[in-house]
Amino acid sequence: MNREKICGRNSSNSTREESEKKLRDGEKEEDRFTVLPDEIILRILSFVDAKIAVQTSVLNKRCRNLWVSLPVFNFDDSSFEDVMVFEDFIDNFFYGRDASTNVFDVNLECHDELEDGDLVDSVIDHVTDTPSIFNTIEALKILAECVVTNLPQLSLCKSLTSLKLCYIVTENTNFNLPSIKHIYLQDCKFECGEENFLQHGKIKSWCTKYNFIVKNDKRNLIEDVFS
Amino acid sequence: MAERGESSEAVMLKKTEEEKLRKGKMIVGDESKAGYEEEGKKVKLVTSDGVTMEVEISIVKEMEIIQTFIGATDTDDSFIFPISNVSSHILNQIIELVKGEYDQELAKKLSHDELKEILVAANYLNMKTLFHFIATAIANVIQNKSVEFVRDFFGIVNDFTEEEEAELRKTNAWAFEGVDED
Repeated sequence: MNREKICGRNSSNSTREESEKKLRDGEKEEDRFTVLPDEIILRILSFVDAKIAVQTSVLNKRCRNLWVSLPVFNFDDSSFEDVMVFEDFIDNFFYGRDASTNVFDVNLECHDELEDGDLVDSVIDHVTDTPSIFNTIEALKILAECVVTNLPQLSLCKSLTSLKLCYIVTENTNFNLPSIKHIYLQDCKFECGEENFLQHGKIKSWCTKYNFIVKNDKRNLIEDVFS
Repeated sequence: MAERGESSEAVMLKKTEEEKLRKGKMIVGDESKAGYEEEGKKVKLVTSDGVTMEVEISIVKEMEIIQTFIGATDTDDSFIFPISNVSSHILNQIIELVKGEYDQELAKKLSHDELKEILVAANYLNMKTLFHFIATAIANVIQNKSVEFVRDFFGIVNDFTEEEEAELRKTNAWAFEGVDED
């Protein structure tokens, strides 16, 4: 509460406090800064890559454990040397985070070539094994070119309304995604055909960009399902 | 200043109660007139530095904190809302951003302090779209920047000893892969 006040302070009632601080820190006039409360910093961290978020732990003592309460995970392999290091990061992240913090949004992007679907499957495993995630998750995005087997486990996520899959291949044929309202599929391959996948999920269109690769290719499939 | 802000808030609350009573006695059937008045209507806001600004209703509509009052009362044009946490400079910036339909190019012209102050104001006024927009802009600024840059950006003073920081970087080494130590 007190911190909220400091952050929301206006120039007139904090002039003295600030000039004192300036004197103390030897700051120049233009270096006046706004101190953001933890809650707001945490919300900003929800928009950055998980790696950057964890790195904020060394900013100062107050920020040391901010990242463990992140409500959004943005995993992206772009800033990692290779997939092994990326996997290691995700393992450590899951191990170190506060398991009681509710998570609403999980984004996994793997642009590097993958040998198998283990990475994606292990992330889905973690999501569906952790009550603080599977009870509250609303949006999931997976971008990875691999064969994924754990997608049906997502039926556990009763609050999951948005699903975005890119380049995913799956041989699963039985999906039950009752809460899904929005779906975005880009260059995915479904053994069962999108028709079954979409009908099981009672899915409505989310994005206009559809580029399906269907085993028994039906070009007008989308209009059929969404009309 | 703080005291004045509090007293004007108290006045506002009192007025809210009065308005409620008045509304209770109002004759039904005035909606068409109200709808007409909505067009181009302006709402008076008084900022932390004491400036009274007339802001278009379309912009005020995004400020949920004000909407809560407007929705609960039958405010007339003379009503002035105190927004004791937002300066006139920041309110002007907010108006520009909303009018500019949240163009990221506009965000690039803002200083780091303005970004932070607008974020705090968006949080206070409960402007969800603005908060999301500015948080994204800030995320873009700090993404892929050194810890020192982020520290400067947030105005955070490093209170770790060198040893403590080194130890923490070692513990969280998995997140510092490929990052230079300096």
